[in-house]
Amino acid sequence: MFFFTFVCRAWLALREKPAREDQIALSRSLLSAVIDGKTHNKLAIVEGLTNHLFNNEKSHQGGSQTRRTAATGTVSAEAYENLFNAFLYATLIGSETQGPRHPLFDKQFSIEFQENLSQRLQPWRQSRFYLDMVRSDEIRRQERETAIGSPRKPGPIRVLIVAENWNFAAPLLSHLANAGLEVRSFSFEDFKAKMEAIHGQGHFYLPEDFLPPKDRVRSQVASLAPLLDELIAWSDVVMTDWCKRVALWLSRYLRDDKKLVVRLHSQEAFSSWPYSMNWGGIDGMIYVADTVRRFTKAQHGERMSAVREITLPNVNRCQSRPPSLAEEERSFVIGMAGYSTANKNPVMALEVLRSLRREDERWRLRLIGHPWQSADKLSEAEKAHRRRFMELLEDPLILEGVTLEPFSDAVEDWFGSIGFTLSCSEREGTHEAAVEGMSRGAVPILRNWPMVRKFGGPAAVFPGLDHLVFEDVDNAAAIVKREHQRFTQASSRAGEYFLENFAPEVVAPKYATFLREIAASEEKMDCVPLQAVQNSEVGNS
Amino acid sequence: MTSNRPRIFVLHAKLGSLQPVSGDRIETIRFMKTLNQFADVYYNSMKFDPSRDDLGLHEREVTPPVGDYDLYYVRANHDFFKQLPSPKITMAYPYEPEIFAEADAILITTSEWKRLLESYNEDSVSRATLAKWYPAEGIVKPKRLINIRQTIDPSVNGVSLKKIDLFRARLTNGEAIGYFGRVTEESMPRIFLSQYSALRKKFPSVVVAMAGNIRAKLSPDILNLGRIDYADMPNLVRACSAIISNEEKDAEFLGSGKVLEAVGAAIPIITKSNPVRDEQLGVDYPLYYTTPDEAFSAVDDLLSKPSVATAVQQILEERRQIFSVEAQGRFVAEGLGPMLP
Repeated sequence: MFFFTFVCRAWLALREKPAREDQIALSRSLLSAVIDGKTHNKLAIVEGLTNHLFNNEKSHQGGSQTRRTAATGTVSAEAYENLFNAFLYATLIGSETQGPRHPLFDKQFSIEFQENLSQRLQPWRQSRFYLDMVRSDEIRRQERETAIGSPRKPGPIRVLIVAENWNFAAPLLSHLANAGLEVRSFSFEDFKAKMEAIHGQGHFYLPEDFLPPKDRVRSQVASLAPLLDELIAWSDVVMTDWCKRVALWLSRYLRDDKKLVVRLHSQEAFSSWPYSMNWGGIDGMIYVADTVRRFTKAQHGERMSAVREITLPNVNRCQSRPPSLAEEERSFVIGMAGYSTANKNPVMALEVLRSLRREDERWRLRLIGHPWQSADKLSEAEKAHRRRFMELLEDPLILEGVTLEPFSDAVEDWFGSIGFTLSCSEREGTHEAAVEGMSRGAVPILRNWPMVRKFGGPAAVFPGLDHLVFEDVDNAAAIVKREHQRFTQASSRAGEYFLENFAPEVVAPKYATFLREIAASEEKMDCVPLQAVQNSEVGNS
Repeated sequence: MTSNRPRIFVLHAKLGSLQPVSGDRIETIRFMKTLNQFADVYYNSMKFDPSRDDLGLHEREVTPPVGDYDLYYVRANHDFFKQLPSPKITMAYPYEPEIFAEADAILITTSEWKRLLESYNEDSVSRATLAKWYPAEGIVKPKRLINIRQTIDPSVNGVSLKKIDLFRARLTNGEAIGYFGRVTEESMPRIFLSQYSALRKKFPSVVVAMAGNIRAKLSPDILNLGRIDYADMPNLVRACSAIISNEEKDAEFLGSGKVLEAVGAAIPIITKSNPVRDEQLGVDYPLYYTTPDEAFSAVDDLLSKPSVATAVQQILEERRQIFSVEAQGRFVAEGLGPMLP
């Protein structure tokens, strides 16, 4: 607890604006200490860092006496994560500071980072931490190359999907089965307590040197979670959704003779998770969008050279269905699903509506989703965005054309009454709402998402829909009006686009093909080139 | 506009409002939904509205009934019950001699419970069966014993294909056999579990999952889902291939809401044979067991004999009709008829 508090304080210090050089130096030294092999003694680390922090604070507070508590020697997972992030952020950011999230979620920083990627990553790639990880990758890769597993049983490929958050993974179960695979699942959500028993409060975040040997971990898993052990033994390929905690654990501890495929969404490409992954333990990556693939590879590609990859959208739940409202009723209706964050930029959506209603007051904007969180839970940037949103709602021209609707579990039904799906986001991966809208004939109007523009923007996610991509409010309004003029055709094309590119029956077989290829690669690192999968990019980096 | 429907006052223990957070409370809510088929129901003088998420109830201090009612049903609040005018009814448990004497009718949920109470004072076997619940020296004979059975909760608001998918993922996407409710050493279905290893050997995709108030140490090969919201239970049940029902002695006369919930969801029940299950599922139901071997066979038959699975589905559909809220409304109205205007 003490260590956690200590790290939080260090982190809070780092967040101060403007950052002091000594704070940056502090955060660098925190991790230098951890990654230095000589200081793997936790007590020594805590003691050393405590001195550093308190000396630092002492001088900052004008020499006043500060508290000092005996170190407990316990490093919580959260503390380590904070520590690692503090180091990573400081390394990536240089002399700037950001909020508590990974700095890449900050729009301005992210864009600047992408523009100067090599330069920004240089300190990280020169760090001892990075070099240790590259070494771990290599060791793991070699262990797995020499592992001898049981020969695969004839019959369908057996896939075990492991996840904590099943929102996007659950539909895979039935659709992969329909595509001819045998599919089982295991939820880490129900395994947390046992993980803590094995590692001690989720300690698997820690560098591998801190952790018990793999054999011991595996034997404890077999005894505490025999279902997981049996399912791993049963499987030909283990797939995990989200390149986060579960992927990290599997990349380190999955049996050496088993193949591992990780699906990565937009969120992780902007997070620190891939930095701490053991890439030697991963055989295949599925990226949900090409922007996400390119950005991830730009950051981590040099550690992923032996990892096969493919870009495939989520296998979603929605099915192609005709709209529920007549064309004349929905062709003036714009919809936005999940609007209450600055990233979704509902302010811009209101501005687009205002621009349209200045010419024709039949235009309406329907916003559906959870309302804004209470102010005490929002960052300053979010609060400012919400404030601006509320101010705009006071404009009668906007107010009379807007409806706010509560979250619905069946949003695809709602899209049946929508003519256009408006995306004003700063950053998107797959943009599920645009896909769900298309399944009901809603025409997507897509901002050239600034935070992934360098890596292709929406044109890379929705090839062939460049004519629906806008740069600013006026541009968006002009595209909406143009498509409104040919709405029948535009709506019909949207429905076709869904069927061609996102219908589960189209996407799931591509997953199945990739998983079969991974399962079939006996020599994991000496891969037979993957056959091209239609409409997908496949291959080693 | 004045309703011609009878007005029924309900109170559960000392609860000013009622939420579905335990078996007993869920049972009372289901009973109110049944009564609502033919009567206007008031809980603690608030109009009960099953169409609303909050059932039309809000937190309110328990007060004597406001207004006139045609019938009073109070469960587990003896002091309150004594102050009420007739006609008034209560559940057969917890037992209190004065209440049994004063009540115009005592309610039970199974024929077997009724039979045991009717013969209690004369029959030592009945006394032995109910020994935990009623005094050894005998009970006050009720004026009337009415079997209200149990009702399949008509509320399907919680059923969502998305949530069922999410539960399937948590259940390993295998043949999940669920055991839900209060799980203690006493209520552990030991006959069934004695065959778990053998079943997994023959059907590797079989997995037992438990959810609810789990107070017993579970074997590590049983999935522990912890507490699940009542509103999500219909989804969890539908994500299972079958459920198991209680084996302990009390299950031989008490009703079982989870069995009926599975009937409503068309999910097979693997169950120890007893008179209550005969009443709920019929004597010809094919998935009964008494011994470990029979428990094994029940699962074996269900998973490997399509004819058995089909027969089970037909029976479940028939039983769903019998215990639907509409059918139950007619059944209970008839049972309470002599006390209603």
